[in-house]
Amino acid sequence: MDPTTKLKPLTPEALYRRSNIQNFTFNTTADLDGLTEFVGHLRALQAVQFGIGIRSRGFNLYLLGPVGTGKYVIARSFLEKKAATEATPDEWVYVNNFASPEAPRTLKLPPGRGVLLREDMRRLMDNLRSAIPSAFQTENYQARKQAIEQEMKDRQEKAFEEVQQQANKQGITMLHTPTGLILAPMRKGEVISPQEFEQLPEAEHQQIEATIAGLHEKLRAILLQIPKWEQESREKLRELNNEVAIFAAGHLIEELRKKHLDLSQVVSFLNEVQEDIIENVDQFLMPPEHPLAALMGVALSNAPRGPAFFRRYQVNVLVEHSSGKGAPVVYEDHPTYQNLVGRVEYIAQMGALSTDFNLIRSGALHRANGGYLILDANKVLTQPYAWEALKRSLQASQIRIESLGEMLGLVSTVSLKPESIALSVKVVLVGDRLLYYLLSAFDSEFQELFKVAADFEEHADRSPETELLYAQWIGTIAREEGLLPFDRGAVGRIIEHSSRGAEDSQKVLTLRRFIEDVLRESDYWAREASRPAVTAEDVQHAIEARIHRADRVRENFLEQVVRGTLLIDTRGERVGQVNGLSVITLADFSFGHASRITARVRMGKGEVIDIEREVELSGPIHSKGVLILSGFLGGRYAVDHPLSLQASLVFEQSYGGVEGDSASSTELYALLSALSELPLKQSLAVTGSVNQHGQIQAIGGVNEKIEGFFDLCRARGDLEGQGVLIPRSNVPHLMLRQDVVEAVRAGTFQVYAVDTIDQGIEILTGVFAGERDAEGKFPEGSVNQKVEARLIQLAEKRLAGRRQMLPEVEL
Amino acid sequence: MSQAEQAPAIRRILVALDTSPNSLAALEGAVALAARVEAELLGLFVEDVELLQMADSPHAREILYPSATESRISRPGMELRLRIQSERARNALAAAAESARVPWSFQTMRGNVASELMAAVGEGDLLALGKRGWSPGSQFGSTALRLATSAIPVLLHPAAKTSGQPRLQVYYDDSPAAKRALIAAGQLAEDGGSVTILHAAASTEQAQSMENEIALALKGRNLAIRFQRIVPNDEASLLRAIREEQPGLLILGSREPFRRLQSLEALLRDGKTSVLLLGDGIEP
Repeated sequence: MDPTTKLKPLTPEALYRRSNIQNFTFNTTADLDGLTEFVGHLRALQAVQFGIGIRSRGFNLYLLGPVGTGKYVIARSFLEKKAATEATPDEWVYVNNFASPEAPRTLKLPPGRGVLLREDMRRLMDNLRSAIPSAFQTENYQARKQAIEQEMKDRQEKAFEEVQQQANKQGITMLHTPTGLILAPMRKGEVISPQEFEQLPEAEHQQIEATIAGLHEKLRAILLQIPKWEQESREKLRELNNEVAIFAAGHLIEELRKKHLDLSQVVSFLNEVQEDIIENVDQFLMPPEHPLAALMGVALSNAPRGPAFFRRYQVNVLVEHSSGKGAPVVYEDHPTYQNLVGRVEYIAQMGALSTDFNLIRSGALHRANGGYLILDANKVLTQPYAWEALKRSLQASQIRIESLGEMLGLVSTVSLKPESIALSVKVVLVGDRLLYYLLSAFDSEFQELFKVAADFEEHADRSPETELLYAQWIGTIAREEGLLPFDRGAVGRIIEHSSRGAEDSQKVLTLRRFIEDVLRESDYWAREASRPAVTAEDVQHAIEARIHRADRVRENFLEQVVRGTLLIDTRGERVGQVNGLSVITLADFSFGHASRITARVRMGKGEVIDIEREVELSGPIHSKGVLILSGFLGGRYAVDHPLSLQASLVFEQSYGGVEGDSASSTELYALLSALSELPLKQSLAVTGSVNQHGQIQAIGGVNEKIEGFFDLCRARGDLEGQGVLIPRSNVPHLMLRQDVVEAVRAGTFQVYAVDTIDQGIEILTGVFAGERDAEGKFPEGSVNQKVEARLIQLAEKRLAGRRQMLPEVEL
Repeated sequence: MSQAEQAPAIRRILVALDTSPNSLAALEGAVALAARVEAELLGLFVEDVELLQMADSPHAREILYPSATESRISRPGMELRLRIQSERARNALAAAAESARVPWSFQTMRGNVASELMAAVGEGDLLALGKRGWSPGSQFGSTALRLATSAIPVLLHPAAKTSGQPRLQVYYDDSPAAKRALIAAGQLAEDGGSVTILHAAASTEQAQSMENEIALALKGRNLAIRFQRIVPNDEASLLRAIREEQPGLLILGSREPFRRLQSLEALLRDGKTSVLLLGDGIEP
């Protein structure tokens, strides 16, 4: 019986699904309207719309999906449309806290008013710095000031003069030392020398000393009064200064108060400014600082702009929305802790660090407050403490600026503690699926804060409607990127290539990045060929060029096979030897590669030894596949007797790891051949996993595997009916290269789709597999009969051997 | 021109320094004047012998500023304090003179302050000093009093530092001393500067005559001359005229216009006018 009459190879049409370009009514994509929706992603888009629309707490979004699905572009597009219809949020400014400068205060102001206040304060200071000194230079002020000073001076002088006059009358003079006063007795206008003094009678001594003692007391009383008089004088001067300062500054500040009368916070701030100016009016009277302050000859070029003192009256606009274009949509591409929550900067001056509220800088949360913030989840999670800060801000609905050192309790130096800012923002995290599932599983707060997940599908069903949408999408991207238009053929070829990328002829990829790359490269080749529009030829050129750039390793493999370094037969028949197929992926390029798989059998205890596993070169899935073989053999052939074989399986000349179960059917074919001693056709290669019932199951990379064996055969120059056995369930996935399809059409290469091991072994051996008859026996001469007979033979031999060794034991 | 009418030639300015605010104000005025007339500066610090004598007395007590506590004094302690004060005076002089690029020297002497200062003044010297030293009060200190009433040329500085460029004022009454003051003013005035002549004329004719004389005396100098007539022998009239142009530097050929020292004290108490008393000591 010829099994090939039972199972025919696949037709060329089954190997590749062409795009229906005859349905396209356009010549080039330039004729098409721009795409206003996105191909595929319906589920995700609905989730995004829901997430953006709902304003409840915790309904932040996580957009999950593979890289390149255009999640960010989609999110941004949706958010910008929504944000443009929303109210522009308030502005936030930091101002000095005059009572506690280390805790700057915030003011929440309507859009545009923050900048206005900043400019108003700047102008006010410019005016005050000339108005106040002018007021203090008037004759009127100078006269009143001099009067106060003179009053104080006169008071002192009068007091001293009185004592001096009393002293002079009593023959005593006042001598002034560098540190105080001495009262000395005089005689004839001269101070009495110590010697003369000693010669005076005792009574005179006592009288002089008593006089001096009395004068001492008076002088001491005056000296003790002086600080009080000075204090009174200072107080009078302060009152005068206040009066003049209010005169000079009051009307200017009053103008501002009227201007900002609708904002009570600002009015209150201006009141504090006025009080502070009066309190510190001396600062306005000092000569202007040199632009480059210097210490010990070293210029302090980094000094804060403007004279240091007057910085206290500035307004630090943290967030401004002067343009008033709706809610902000912010993307922070470097979401460090500080870039998220803001920071306090410092200025180094001669080795010391200083700061004030003017050096508070906004973070992305500040800029997005009242709107939307888009972040890359992976970046947020890889930046130290950024994730914690983001969660803390969302939980507390406020932004608190503190340095990392303070947050970790590592720094206890006095710094700024800016007042927290109320936060109302919708955060949109963009990341891959694994990250989403890990966060859901291990971060208990994640689900509370990111309640909306938008799962972006990387595939879309391939239908005529989808193909037309795809054409529009291509046209839209081409316009956005400034590429040539794509003609119908090019569009069709891109759709077909997208199906190949999706590894499914029924699907197309929705990965924007994938499409963009193809479009750009095709555009390049079209321009090289001076074409006005990109054609299918250019697209094909781009695809082949990309493969060529990446296939050095594949060519090395082929060369080694052709030269006989790697032993692969593609002709003839061998017992226990079959061509298996695997896929090697290097970066974004995958290719199929044939391997020789061999099986040897002998009597044993029912073990199938996977040599790859023994030497730890196989992964767990591969090992599982091999163990399934034992289940299949035992279940089919050794129900009534022990499975008394020991079989060894090996990937010949494989020196790297083997993983996956796509070779399990291949290994089973080799094993069945070894047991039945029926040779297998080496012109065929096999892929597919098998279950314990002998059913062939789908595998991945089917296109690459077929093409890999095709390339190998063609490289040897012997395409004469070789082929590949694949699982039938993989047929919808076929999107083979045109040269493979053409070879099949010409009959020089074949692809068989098999459902069971029996179908496969018939093709490989040319012998029918055979099914058990009513008596439970396989037909004589069938593959299965030969396998069973061999296993029974092995079992009997083993039983005989054991009886011989242990005759008295009943076995 | 008689000898009495010839212009004084200031070659050296002596500054009496005791580090009091008054003496430091005098230093500032002296430095400015020295720079203008290219004179040398000599700082003088006198260790008051009376203080040292008192330090020898076992009964002497000092009342200390500002605590008003009483302390015994000793000679070594007093000498040390005077040395420190002398060093401070020297440093103040050095800083002021070097910033104005004026050549300077410094000398410490011991004795009666006024006597030592008077003894130090030689030919072509001008002595600059404050109204009073450390002693409180509005009147002249004893040292200033002796020097202001002596024949040696002195620059009396007000109690406080003046701000702005002082305007030159000359008292003129047609006397030889007034003529010397006029010539001195011509020398001190900057090219293109101005001088205010306070002329004490009894009549319009006399005033006109004086103005002609003055114009002739200052002929050839590029100066703006302003005349202000005052009542002869009337100190109040003189003070009013002086106070109209403050800050000022009043040049007097002699102390004659201020017969009462109180008037001069009042002028200096304003803190806005310095007085250059040429006296009789400067010989041509």
